[in-house]
Amino acid sequence: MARNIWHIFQLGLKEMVSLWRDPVLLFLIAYSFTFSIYTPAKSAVMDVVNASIAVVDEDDSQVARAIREAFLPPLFLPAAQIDFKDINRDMDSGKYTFVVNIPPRFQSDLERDAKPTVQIITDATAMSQAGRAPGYIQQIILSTVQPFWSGRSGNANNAPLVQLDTRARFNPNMEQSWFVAVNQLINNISVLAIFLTGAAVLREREHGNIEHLLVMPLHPYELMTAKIWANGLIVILAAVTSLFLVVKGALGVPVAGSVLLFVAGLCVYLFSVTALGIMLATLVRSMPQFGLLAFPVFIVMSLLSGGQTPLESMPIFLQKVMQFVPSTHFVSFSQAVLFRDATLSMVWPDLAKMFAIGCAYMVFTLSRFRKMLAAVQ
Amino acid sequence: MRVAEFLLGKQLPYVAVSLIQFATLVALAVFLFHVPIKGSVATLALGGVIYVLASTGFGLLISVFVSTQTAAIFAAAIITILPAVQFSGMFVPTSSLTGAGWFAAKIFPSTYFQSVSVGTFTKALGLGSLWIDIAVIGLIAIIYFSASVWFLGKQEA
Repeated sequence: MARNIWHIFQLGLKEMVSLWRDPVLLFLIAYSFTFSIYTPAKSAVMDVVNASIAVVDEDDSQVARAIREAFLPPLFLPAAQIDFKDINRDMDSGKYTFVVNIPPRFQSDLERDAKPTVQIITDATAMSQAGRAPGYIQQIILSTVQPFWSGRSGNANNAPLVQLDTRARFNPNMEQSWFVAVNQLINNISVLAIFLTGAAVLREREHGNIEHLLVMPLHPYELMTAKIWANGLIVILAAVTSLFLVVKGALGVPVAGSVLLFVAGLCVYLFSVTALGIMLATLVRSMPQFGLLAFPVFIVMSLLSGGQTPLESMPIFLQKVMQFVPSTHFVSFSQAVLFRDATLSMVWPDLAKMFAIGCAYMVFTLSRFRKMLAAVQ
Repeated sequence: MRVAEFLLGKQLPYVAVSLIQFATLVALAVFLFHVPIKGSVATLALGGVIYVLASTGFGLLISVFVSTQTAAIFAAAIITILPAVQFSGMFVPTSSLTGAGWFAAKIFPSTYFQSVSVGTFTKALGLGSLWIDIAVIGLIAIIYFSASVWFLGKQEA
């Protein structure tokens, strides 16, 4: 038993040394835990942020200018002024996501209470903004034209019947960048774990090292466990550093919960996702095949595990299928711990499921691994 | 054998694989998800072919720089997913991107292909409106390929 652990330890060290000698790989790990977390959180937020808007001013009046100046950051970029004839061209090219068309005689119609119409043209292919922004635009225009309006009728009747008092818990300003940052962190952990371990298995195989290893008194599970602990440790170090320096530091996301609990969960997740990486590697024969298989697996994982869109809004069937993917549980675990300060007693089901899934992958992989080694012999 | 011929020989099989994927995905969109192609199918196909040349060219360029297959496959995953998913305009319109995200959107071909596919599928556009995007993808493809030839040539010399 002690000899086995010694083997696993030594093989893991060998794994780390070969990583250390690969500067490109080290650079990519650094890149994926800095730039590729910071930049999406800063600029690719799925909300009405920096929406590009243009105004077609056919009235050239005081109120039209007031409307144009009312679109302010951070919701909107400064509104551009374009000609009526350019609307289609600019919408086609995606230069502006929204165009507000103020008709001629708008101010005079407004002053004599003739209920003028403003057209808002929305590029509905801009998924993250097209739904919500027209509502904001309407509010902005209505409050801007209020002082120019002469009508007295109806205002009292428009008072809402029910008063709403919304309180946003855990993220008071509803900042999407918090979720984007944590989601990117999780994505990069998954990519790294799947590709590093999967590729590590294939590397041994393609270089013929597996034949060497077979001559030595080593068991397949020793090889596999060594790869998991070595690559897992690297990912944990990189992820925790990134959590402090990039997510907490540079992006200023307040981490509400226990970092220690998060790291514990990360270890369980890494166990299951590295097992997935190795399992995928045993299903293919070469590195190009591994790339073709691992890419779609990762993309589906990242899009459907609840980090991009809530799991609850997916079809029931898909929700059930995603229960068998470890990242689903890790996303829910991470959000609970990092944002809502959940304790172990609340998140242990997620941990248990991740562990169970990892074990299932392991059992399947070990049987494949034996066959793979047998084929080499 | 010349470097360019060698690289082209490596690239072409994967161009073929990617084109089959492209055709399959378009068919899935049209027949399974019932997304109609309102614009020009020929423009979409032309854009697809050139985009596949550009993206496989990027793969070549990466592999010229790295020494192991592990690093190549990992680099491809890490470097391309971000601009393709986050900065291409798929979720967030590129006109709302700022800083490094905006820059990444400008230099990767996925942004331009996103506007070709959205343009032909839902905006009912044709080559008349999209030729600039397709030309930019073509330009990027040529840059990737020439850079690969140049760097590989330097390594061999």
